[in-house]
Amino acid sequence: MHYIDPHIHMVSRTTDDYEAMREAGIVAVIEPAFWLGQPRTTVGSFKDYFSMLVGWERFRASQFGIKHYCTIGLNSKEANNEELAEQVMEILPQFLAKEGVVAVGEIGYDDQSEAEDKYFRLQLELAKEFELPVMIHTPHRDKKNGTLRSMDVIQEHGIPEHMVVIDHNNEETVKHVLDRGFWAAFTIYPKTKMSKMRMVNIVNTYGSEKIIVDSSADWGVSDPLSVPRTAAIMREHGIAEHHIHLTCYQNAITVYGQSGQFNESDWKQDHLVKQADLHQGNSVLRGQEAKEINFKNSIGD
Amino acid sequence: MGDRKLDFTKCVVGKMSPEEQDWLNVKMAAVKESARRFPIFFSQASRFIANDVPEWNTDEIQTLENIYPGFGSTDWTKRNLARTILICALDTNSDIQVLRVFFEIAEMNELVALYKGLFLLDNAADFSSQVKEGVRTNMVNVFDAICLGNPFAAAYLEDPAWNQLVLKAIFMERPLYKIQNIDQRRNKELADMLQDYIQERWAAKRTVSPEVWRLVHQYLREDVKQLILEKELEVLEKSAIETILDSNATVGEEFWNNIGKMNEINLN
Repeated sequence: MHYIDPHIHMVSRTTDDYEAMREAGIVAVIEPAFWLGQPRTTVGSFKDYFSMLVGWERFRASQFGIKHYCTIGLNSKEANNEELAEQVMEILPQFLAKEGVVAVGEIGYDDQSEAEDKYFRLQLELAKEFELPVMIHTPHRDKKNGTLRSMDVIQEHGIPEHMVVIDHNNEETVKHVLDRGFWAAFTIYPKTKMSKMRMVNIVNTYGSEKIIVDSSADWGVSDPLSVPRTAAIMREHGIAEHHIHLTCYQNAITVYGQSGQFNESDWKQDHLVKQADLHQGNSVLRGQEAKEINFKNSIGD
Repeated sequence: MGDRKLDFTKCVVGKMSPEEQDWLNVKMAAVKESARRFPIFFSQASRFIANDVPEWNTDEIQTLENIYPGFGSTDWTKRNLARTILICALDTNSDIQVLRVFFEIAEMNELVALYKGLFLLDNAADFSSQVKEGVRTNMVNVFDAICLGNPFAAAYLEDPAWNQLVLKAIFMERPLYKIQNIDQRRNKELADMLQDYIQERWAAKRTVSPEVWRLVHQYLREDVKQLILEKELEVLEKSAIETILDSNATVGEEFWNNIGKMNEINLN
């Protein structure tokens, strides 16, 4: 069984995580641009971060047999530093044009401040210009209102609902999101946000048609195996395979595939990651024994 | 446009589909007019140009080898060819500024195309510090773009930088026989560094690539000769070492290329 984690911040994760993820069946990940915990103070930090998402991190993932994609955007927290935000807006288009950039994101509200609103709207316009899907970060505080307001603004800007994933949903927001025709993603965290068992209930109630499971694993307490683990719990609780397939694999392809940059064929063929090719001080192996990992195609099994 | 750029562009455009040619012609014209949109066009090649490797006949390969020595020894995808054509469309007076800025934000596959294409520029020599920076990359495909089948390094890098490139290629276990002009750029300093490297590896009971001896040839030191006598050699290694020990042997490119190819087969 193969999985996609369509929201995970791999720059914060170790090579052990990559190995475990691939072992658990994750074949592709999407890494949304977000904040790093430590606020950035210059546009150069953003530039190098975005470059890392399309460069080094992509290469690092490839060494473990995982296809790495990303979304590019100015996150809502840092949108509040307006002087910096202006400069970041200037460099965004160049990165949005790059290969493997599957959406504008993650964008939306944090405090729901005026500055956040301004840059959210400007980036929605960029998504239209580049014909890319949008990944929406919904706020932790005042979540329900923040989510409703995000959807209002998206519709006001005329972006079709099928192009938008509203992320970090819970029981209070999911119905609104689905009723309005958006994709609803759920972040499965060990403690906060959403648990695996609650996810089982969500799928039992709302089905799988427009629901997506992700880990949002980052530098905080989080689990890079949330997607396969949630799938396992769903299976234990008798949820049908096609629901698991849609929520933990296929729906991500359907929505982000609209970018033209996210194709199953990218990872579907047999492939052999020969770590010896990427050996020593010049790879992430640092003189460890090079392993040969043969990943047979078993998608659709 | 310089002759090299022009000739390369002419050879390559015909391999694109009619739609791809239309896209490229429009973008080339726009880039010649102004470099402002160059970064976007260069990136968007991933959306408009296929990524397969075109087939060439012998004449075509010969022509391309004349323009770009080493062309035939690595795969050039249509997308890399198209991106190279876009680089060639830049005005020589401003290409250095435009590309310096773009290099900083180029993604992995873009870096590959950039490094592959630099040799064709009229002012290629102006990019040698960029290529030296590129050699420091840890992304293997980017390193390969600089190192294998690319005439830039041999043409424009000074010995210290060239030697670093070769050393790094050995550490990364890249096929040395695909490094353009590897024999012409042999030098004593490199041979000495490699003999120190051989001693270090053997002391740690580790192996070295049989291709390494290609660069030691004619510079073999007494201390290493001594070590060889005490060492049990592997087949390819033995063949390489016996050749450099025999002063009567005439060793050509062909011999070393075969060692490299056989070593590659062994590694796979």
